Amino acid sequence: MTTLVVGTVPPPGGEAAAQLAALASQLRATGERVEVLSPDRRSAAHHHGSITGPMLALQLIRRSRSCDGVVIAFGPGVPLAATAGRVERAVTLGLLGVALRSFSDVTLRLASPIPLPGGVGGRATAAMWSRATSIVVENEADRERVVLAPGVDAACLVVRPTAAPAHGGRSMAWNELHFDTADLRSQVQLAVRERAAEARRVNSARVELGAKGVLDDGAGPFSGTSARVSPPDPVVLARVFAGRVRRVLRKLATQP
Amino acid sequence: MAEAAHSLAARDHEVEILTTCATSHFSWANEFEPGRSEDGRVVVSRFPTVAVRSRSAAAQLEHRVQRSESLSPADEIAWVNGRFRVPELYLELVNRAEEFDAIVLSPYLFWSTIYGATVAPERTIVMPCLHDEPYAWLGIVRSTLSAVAGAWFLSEPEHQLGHRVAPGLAPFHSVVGAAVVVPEHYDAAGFRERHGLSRPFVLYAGRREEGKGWRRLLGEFGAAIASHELPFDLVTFGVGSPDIPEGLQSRVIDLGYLESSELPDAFAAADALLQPSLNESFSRTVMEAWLAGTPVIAHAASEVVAWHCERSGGGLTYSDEIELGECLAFVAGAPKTAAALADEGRRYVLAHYTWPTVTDAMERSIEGLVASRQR
Repeated sequence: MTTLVVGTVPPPGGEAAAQLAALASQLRATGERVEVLSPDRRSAAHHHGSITGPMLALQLIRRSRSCDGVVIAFGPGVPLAATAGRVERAVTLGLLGVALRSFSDVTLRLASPIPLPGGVGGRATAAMWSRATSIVVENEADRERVVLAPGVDAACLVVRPTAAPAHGGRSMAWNELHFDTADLRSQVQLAVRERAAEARRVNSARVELGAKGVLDDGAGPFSGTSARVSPPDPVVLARVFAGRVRRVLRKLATQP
Repeated sequence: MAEAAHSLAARDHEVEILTTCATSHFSWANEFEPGRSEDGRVVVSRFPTVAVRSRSAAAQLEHRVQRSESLSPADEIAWVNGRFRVPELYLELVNRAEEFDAIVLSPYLFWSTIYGATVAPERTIVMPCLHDEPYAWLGIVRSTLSAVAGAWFLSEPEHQLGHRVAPGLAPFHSVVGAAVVVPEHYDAAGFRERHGLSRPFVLYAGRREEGKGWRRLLGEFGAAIASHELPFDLVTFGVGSPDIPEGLQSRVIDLGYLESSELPDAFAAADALLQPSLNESFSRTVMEAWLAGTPVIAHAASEVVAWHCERSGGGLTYSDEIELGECLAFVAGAPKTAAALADEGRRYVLAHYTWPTVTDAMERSIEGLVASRQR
């Protein structure tokens, strides 16, 4: 069995990225073939590409030829940008519901708070939830919300909390900083401003490129490198579309 | 004001409180019985408020003030009368003003202050609690702050704003500050247990209103936890409906209204206090958090709180959700350094904002006012 893991994995990433990488690694350890699709081209992934908006569905359809299962980590910008409107939400989630039909095993991992503008309910999400063989949420409150959404099979819902990043990600970096006791407040305030300015710069670059996601921690060999994603290839889009049309036509032709 | 009255009474001053029968600053409905009572060594006289006749006219004027439109003097007076009136209190002052060495009125935008100040301006001190908001720039506020003998400010930025608002500011004005009571002990673990708080949390304490920055804070906190994967929940208590968005309901916990005896423990249990309000003339919760050894993260656009943070060395400021995220990440990642900041804040409160210090300043101001009349 080959499983496609969709979401940001390190490097550089944060806690969520590290957990997704750990999951992919565990799947591999059980003997499955795993392919990772990450929006951040710095990630140690098999494939890089935009997974925001309708692009996610197109990527899934394209990869479904070689993969039986899929794990999608819902997070900032995946599958919807925080600014997504009703139409974009309906189109993206509707297409996602269609794309998920190509997989026999579908796991949806939801960050908390659940990053779905417009909430977890509604017709647009029903097809997506109904295709899921497993829906992983971080806490009971999220479970109670999701279980009420149309299309959700309560038996598929699993609560698996993300460990609090006591010593990890950006917090760790703060822990490593050294401050003199004299005028402590000014030093910390300056560090806050500088780190925020760096985060704004990274965010701005991502927004320009349409790939808003988890912030870089600004440390290590990947600092200063671009988080740019692979742009959508029009030829690929056309091939995916044509392939899908062919498949539907073939299906219709074989029906009695 | 009530605590100041008791503090002065404890130093053998004869103190009376003249106030309304209302408890809500929205409805101004009479809820207490009018009349005279005693609260320890302080005499309390309550007077009924009078209902506003035309609420639509008052609302129109309020709308114009909020948009910083220029109002005629008559419109400004109509605006002051459009919230509540308490004419019996005014008449009591007219009758008894000569009995008092000083008449302290607060805050600046209420009928009782604007009208009360006209009775005996030579012995009146206004404690305005000014914010840089459209009301502060009304002509009637300027003339009140210029006509009275004294003004008490809670902070230096408020004092400077007073000069900008009223260039001919009352001659006997000073920064007296405000005081907080220093608790004898804290029970952070007990508070967590009583309220079922198992995760680390940051605290917002106060009115859950647009004007206090509550809704903006919800958005900023949501963005901060989404981008930083912070371990904190946001715990809140106070009046007003919190209206927590669905997506944040698992991370924002509303404790409703807490008894005052619980507040010190709440401050001690938090990993940090968030102060998003831009309209603060002092910010008591910031002082209470520092006293409890809890660091403060405040909005940078609040001139007064930013001043406290800088002057004390005890708090951080943020100007958007990204900086808030960094501040919270700092508290999560470097708790010892954050505690060291809070220690600076505690030292600051103990040095400037305890009742003995503040009452000394009030006494000095009143003595100066009385002496000037006798010259």
